Amino acid sequence: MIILETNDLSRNFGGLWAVRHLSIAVERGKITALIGPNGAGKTTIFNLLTGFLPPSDGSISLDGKRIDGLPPNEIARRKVARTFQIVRVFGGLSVIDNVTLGRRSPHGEGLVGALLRPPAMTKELQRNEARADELLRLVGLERHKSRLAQDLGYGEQKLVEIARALATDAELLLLDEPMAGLSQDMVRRMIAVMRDLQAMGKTILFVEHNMHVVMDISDHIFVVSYGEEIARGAPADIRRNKRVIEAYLGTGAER
Amino acid sequence: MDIVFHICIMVGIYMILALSLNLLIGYAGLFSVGHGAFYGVGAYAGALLSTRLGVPFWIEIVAASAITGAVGYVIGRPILRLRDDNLALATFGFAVITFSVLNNWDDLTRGPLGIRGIPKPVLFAIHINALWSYALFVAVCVAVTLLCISRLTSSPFGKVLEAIREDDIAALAVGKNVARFKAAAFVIAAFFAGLAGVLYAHYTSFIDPTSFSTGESFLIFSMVIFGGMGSNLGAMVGAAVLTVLPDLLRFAGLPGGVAAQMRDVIYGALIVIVINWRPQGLLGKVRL
Repeated sequence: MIILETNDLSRNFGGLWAVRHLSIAVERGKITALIGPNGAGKTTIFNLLTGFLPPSDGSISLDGKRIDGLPPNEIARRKVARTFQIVRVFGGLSVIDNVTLGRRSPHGEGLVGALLRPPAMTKELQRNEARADELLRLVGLERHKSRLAQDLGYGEQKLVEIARALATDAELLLLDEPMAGLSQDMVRRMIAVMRDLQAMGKTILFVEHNMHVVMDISDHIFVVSYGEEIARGAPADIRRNKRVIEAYLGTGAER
Repeated sequence: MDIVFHICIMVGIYMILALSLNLLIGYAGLFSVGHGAFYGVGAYAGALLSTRLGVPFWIEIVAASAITGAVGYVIGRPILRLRDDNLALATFGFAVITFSVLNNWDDLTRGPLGIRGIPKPVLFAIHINALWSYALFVAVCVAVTLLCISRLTSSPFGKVLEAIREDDIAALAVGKNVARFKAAAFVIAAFFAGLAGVLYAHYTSFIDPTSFSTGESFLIFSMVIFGGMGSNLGAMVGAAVLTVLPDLLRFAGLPGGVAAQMRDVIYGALIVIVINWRPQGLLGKVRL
């Protein structure tokens, strides 16, 4: 079953087409990789899918409903969450606050609720913190919950970002280079977390340059180069695909 | 004894101003250097409601604060798209424009002549005439402001403001309507600055635009930076120290004229000291 689909999605910056006629489909419950050489437009695609950039042309549908043109916060509420290529945690806030912020608090975030503190707000806060605790256990950060996010290691900050994304109850997670900058140990930990998420029924679309990881955990791969799709398929097909090898290594690489 | 009450009243008014500005600067990370303008809007709104329309004091104080909050919304909605130094410039521009309007809209504000004869407040048949009773009333207003603002800052609402300060892109990505939260913070800050303005107008019984100049905006800004951004207690301590200090100079035997001049020197020196040696201010949590 398709959860996310783009149709002829395009985006240009002045004369440059960063993304061109992209039509991809992400299947529910699967781990899908989006790969391509540097500057291929992968992060632009993520920004289009999550509403940080409006498309120049084409459409994006989530569960069959159009989401292109919606602002990022509206897309997040439709159970799509993302992480960033360069980690974006709320550095000056505690780890548990970071994750709790992923939850919605209709009572506590409204002025009336915040000022009058009805019992419903207290309950909501307790529920949200309990859920944040669970998620921190899932990513193995429960010991660090009271520390400031900025004091954690880079890899752990990435895990905070994932826990925060999960806190939104997202069904679809977009992870922008989850392995970048991680030590071997952290890479193994991140792979384990991604597999746990799949086991929980989450759908993952991720951008990654670490080909071992991509080939290891992906169910399906899309390859883009200069903003256009050049290949799609299972890891085994992609590994042998001539156009992919050319795009990565340049023509003449086959020698 | 009168001078003590006078200082208490001014400390209280500045505490309300610093608490409300701290919500913007310290919590939401919105650098506003035009808070004196909202202070002025509140003071004029209150003074006009009371002298021209004879509105009862308790309605006036709520209405004038609400009007200031509404002005905050109208101003905030467009300029809150800006960030950091650009936002600071826009709020500064707002302060300059407000001063000019107060100074030139003769029909409404009487320009540089100011508004005189603002009556002492009567609250449900209780006449707040004596200095001590006015100080008490200001203290109650400070308490209400502190209660409201500390409830906001310790609630999920306040946490979202802090998240916006830390990283507004990430706040958007987890579904927070960043524009709405920024606007709400701006309106609340303006509302309480308006309250401070009403308190000032009825205290001095005469207001003119010079009380709400850009210098006043920078004074309130200095109080928050000195006391410590992101701490309500810090904002109050900052307000108290920067209000009392110049008066202490006068007690120390400096002639009044010199003491007044020294005020600005002291504020400047304090800010330089704080930025160099304690960027988070006395009690703050956020570094400048």
